[in-house]
Amino acid sequence: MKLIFKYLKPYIILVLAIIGLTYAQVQTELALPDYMSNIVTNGIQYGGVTSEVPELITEKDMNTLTVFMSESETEKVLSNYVLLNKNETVTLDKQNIILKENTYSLINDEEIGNILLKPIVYIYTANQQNIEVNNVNIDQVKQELDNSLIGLEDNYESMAKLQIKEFYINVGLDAAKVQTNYIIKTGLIMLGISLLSVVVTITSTYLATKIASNIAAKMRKDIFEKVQSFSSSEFSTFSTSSLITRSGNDITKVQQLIQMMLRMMLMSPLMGITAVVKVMRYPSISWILLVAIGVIIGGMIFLLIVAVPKFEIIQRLVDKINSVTREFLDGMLVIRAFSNEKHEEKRFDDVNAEQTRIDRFISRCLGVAMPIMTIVMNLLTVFIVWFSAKAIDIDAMTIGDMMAFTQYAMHVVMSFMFVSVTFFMVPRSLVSVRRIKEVLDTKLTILDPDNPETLPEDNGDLCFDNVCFKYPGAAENVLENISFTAKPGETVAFIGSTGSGKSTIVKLIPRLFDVTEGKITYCGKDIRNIKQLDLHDRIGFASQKGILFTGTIKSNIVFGRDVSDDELNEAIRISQSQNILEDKIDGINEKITQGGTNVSGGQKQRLSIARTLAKNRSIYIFDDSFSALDYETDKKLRNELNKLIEKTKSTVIIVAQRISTIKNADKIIVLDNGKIVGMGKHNDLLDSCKVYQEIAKSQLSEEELNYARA
Amino acid sequence: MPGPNRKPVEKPKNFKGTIKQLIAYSKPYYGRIILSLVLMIISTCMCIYGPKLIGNATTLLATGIVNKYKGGTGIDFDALGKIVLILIGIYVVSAIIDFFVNFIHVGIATDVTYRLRKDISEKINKLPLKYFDSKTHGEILSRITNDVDNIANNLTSTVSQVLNSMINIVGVLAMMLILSWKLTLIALLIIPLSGILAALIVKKSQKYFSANSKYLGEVNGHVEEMYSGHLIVKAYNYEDDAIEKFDDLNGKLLDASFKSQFYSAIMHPITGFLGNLTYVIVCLVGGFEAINGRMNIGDIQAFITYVRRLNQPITSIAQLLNTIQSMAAAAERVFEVLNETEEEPDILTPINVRNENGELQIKGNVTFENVKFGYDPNKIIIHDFSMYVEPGKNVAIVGPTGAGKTTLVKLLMRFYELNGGTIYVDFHNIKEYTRHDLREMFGMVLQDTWLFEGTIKENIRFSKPDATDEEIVEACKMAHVDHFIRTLEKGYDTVISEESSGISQGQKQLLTIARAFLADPKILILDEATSSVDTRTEQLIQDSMEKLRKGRTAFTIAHRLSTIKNADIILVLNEGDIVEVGDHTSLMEKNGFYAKLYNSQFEG
Repeated sequence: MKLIFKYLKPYIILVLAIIGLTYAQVQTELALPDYMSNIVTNGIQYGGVTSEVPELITEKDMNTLTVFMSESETEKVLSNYVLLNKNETVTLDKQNIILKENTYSLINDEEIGNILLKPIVYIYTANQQNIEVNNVNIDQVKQELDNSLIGLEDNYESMAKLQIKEFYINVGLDAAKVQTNYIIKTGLIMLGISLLSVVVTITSTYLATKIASNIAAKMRKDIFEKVQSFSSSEFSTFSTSSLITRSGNDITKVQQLIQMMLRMMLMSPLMGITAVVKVMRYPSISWILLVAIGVIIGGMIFLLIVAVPKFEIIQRLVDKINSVTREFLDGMLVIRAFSNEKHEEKRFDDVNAEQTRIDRFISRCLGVAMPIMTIVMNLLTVFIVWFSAKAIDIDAMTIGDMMAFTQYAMHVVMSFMFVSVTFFMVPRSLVSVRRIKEVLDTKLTILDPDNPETLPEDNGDLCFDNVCFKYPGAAENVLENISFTAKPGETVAFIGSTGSGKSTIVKLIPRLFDVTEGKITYCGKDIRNIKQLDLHDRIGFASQKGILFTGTIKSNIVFGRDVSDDELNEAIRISQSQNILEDKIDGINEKITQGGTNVSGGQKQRLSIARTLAKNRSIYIFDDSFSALDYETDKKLRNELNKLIEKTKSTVIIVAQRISTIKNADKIIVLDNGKIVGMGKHNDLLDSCKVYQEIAKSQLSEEELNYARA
Repeated sequence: MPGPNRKPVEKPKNFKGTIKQLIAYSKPYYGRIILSLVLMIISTCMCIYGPKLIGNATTLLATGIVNKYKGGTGIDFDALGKIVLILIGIYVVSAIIDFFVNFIHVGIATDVTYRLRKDISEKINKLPLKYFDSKTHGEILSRITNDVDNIANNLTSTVSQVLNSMINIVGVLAMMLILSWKLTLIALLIIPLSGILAALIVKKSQKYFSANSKYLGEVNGHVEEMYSGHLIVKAYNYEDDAIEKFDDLNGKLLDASFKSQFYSAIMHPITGFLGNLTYVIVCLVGGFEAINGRMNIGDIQAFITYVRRLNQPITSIAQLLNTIQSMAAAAERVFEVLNETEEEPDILTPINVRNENGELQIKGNVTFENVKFGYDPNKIIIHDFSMYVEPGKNVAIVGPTGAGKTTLVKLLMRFYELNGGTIYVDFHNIKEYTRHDLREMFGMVLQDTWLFEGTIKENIRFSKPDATDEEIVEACKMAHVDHFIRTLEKGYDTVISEESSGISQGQKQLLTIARAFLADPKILILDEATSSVDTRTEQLIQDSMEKLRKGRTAFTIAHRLSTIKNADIILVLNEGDIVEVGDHTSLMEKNGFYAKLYNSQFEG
């Protein structure tokens, strides 16, 4: 997580912007239900009237009102109004009205709402029940109205609004137009808000995507550069395939995580909290929401306990199906040779059946989730209607409020679900983050010296002095007390069975690994005191497998260096690669596909030898590079190589499996279990070294040994 | 959220044909499918009626409260209670139905997966080996796992979702029309807009998705190469060039990745906006209708819910169609395997080569007569080869790497059919035997040993399922591997798995030799190991192979000159064809390819 924040740091301003935009998005989206509520309540139910105190009222209506007021109350009310004469023009709700009779107009509002409320309700009820109101029968009327108002105390305000609308109509207001205006006004506001919302959302999405993809690119670059600086030692602590996953798949997952963090993980809680705040305005029914969330939590816990542990099992079984099938395909020849198809089919069937069984179980468990979610949402709506009904009955809520509440409740539940989904997802993505961090935090073990020594121009002695080597993390030495000297112009060969350490020795020379004990010197200088760039420029290295890269034959031989055409042709000639070019339409510019799949193993080997020879080097290392060649090519190549060495006085180090390859070396070193068990020329070793004899015997017959010796 | 890895949708070559086959394959489930469809329709219809009822409840509340102001009875809680009860009933029942529908679908999906996998695995055994020459194991593996998963996951769910969406569209539209044709008209003008817009975005982003997956592939390819060639990169100071190329590719990827991500991310807000637009307009127009008394509040509320519901299936159908296409592509690949021509069937009246105890009775004569063969019929590699091998003779097959030394072996055991000529065993055409009998005549030890995950005992018994433990131990003794097995902690019950590090390559080969000893065949096929075996084990292998050869007709793919020189017949191969036949002396005298090959071994 820390790593992600480190990468987010340069984008801190943009992140803050995203937070701001997300907040705006939440506010705009959650504002819509409120406006809808207004349309329903004020627009439709109350005919667009929002005032609780009449702003205009005819003198006649006012007089009726005052019937229900005491003298002091009347005085106070009237002091807040000014009487306008007939035919004057006033503005109400943006309508110009020419007064038909004398009318009071509100000039200020000193808490006369309380005084006016009850009288207005009286008039409303009187109108509804056709009771005539005048000064004469006031007490009797009041008595009658009070009776029918029993139990309606909570509804006074709504009733007042309806009566105020009547007052306005009496003044001359076009009520229908007011209502229309109100609805259109609110609708336009809603449109504006949703437009704002989409703009805000797209902007923040843009920024989030930008940040996430840039961070991914930066991370990918950092990892790649880090891995490029790795030595074989660091490489061996990770496997190549794991490094590839870490530079590819894991980065992609982190990119998704960041994108999710910047969008969902910011928005869901904000949305949830804001919606909760809105919902809390109606505490009497908010508890329904709590119940719904409780049910969802219960469902999640159920899945967590019952289904999730099975995921691991499923993964294991999928791997198993893979491995059984792979085995099955790899061994097809053997299986058919022994007519054992049925046996294999049964093995496959066992795994297949087991996987099917568990898969079915999990899918069915997960299958409960969807209906539960739907029913929770649906029942939530139903219960909201039922329990709101009571609140509406006492005017603690309006119909519009109820509809808005339903939508807020959905937002709360949805946000809650998103948050829980992130709880499932984040830990998985964090695994990828950790894997990336491991690579970036790896300490390099092979470093350039602080004060590098320079190498002399001429080739010098390469000297192993009591070298021991242990692979990082391994318990035992792979090489023990290796000492030898390779002089300029000499060919030194290593032979031994698999695991004897012969390939490891040559990897120490270009410092692909550093020795554990002892030292390697070149021209008398410890190679650890020489800059790696300088050291590598002295060495031509051909690996065990011919490795080719995407590009052309030429780009593979030149390989980023300054190689003249003469050098190129010479390298092709010596490495016996001419006939490879002859077969190709484009000759030396023939394309090489990834992994060199369009050339054969032997051709790859020869081309990579050509790469080794393309530049003059003081030391040539051939790490078992001749084994894929047939005997004849092997022979020709070595003859040419010898001619080259005579000229250049380079040192040649060869690792081989075939005795014939190394028979003529100046020095053959026989390895067994990491120790030198014999050193000398072919004939001497045949006489003195038991391991060498055994190797020779397994490859050549007695007769041939004698023949070879002669 | 689709990941940056989202690939452009694959399209099947023959959509109709594949779907037809898929439908045919689903035949055993027709009953269950129809049942689930009927249930689903019932549940969907019930659910569609829900919002209308909630709307009715709202209207009830609205009229009730106004009625109350006017001094009426107020909200009719009895009627409301009834509606609420009906709603609860509808939702509970439809949830239960949904659960059962899912239950049925999971059952079908897992059954199909199981059956497809089983069918493929059995089919593989019936396919000629030739089929596998052109396919990598990874490819076939991916059909068994990924493609089958794809089919199983989508077969029921996607199809039912599409159907569900369609029922929803029809049902919801009907409800909308009942509520208000004016509003429906308005909604119908806007909703297709969101569909078109979504399609446009998908189309535009598709381009960037292809670019994204292309550059992702290139970056990963480069990374893979540079990592696996790390040794060379390091030794040649190539790091800077590698990084430079990486930066170039990474930059392109960044651009494509950003664009594809952005386009897929804005889809939601944009369709959401159109949804809000419809919502606002419905509020507006509905409001007017309500003022004029043509609609009541509850109906507006219901209408809003319906509009939202209509939006959803329309946008998701587009995505579902893509999923169906990729499923069809997967199904096409799977059926391609299942429809592949099988091996030529065994002859109807095979020769009986067994005695009363079921033991094979053969001598081990092998004759090749004018054999003609090529992996590709247009590229014949063995043109006209004839040879007679007496029982008990040793044949060595030699030649440079890649000369096709295993070809003859594969022909002998009838893994491939000849393009001409005949091979006889005991003077009968090998086609006159059943494959089972023919292959039982042969014992085979290959260089790349094949052991399956199981105990050592099971692995050896593989060649003779009814062998007793004593026979197994005896065979292991002959193969010089008994001693080694006994040094293992669990002896013969040691489980061999991919990770089993305690057993070396050489020892694995000894185990396969023990297998051959146990099978006790009349004719042997041996492949000598070239390398990766330590000296001592090498000696053991040679020795036990020698023992195995005794008294049997043997074909050895030979690398050791000692083996070659002692052979009765040497077949020299080059580039697939047999170039020379004879024994060592005669071939040396001939001074041809063999002599050259032989001499190059110890010429400096």
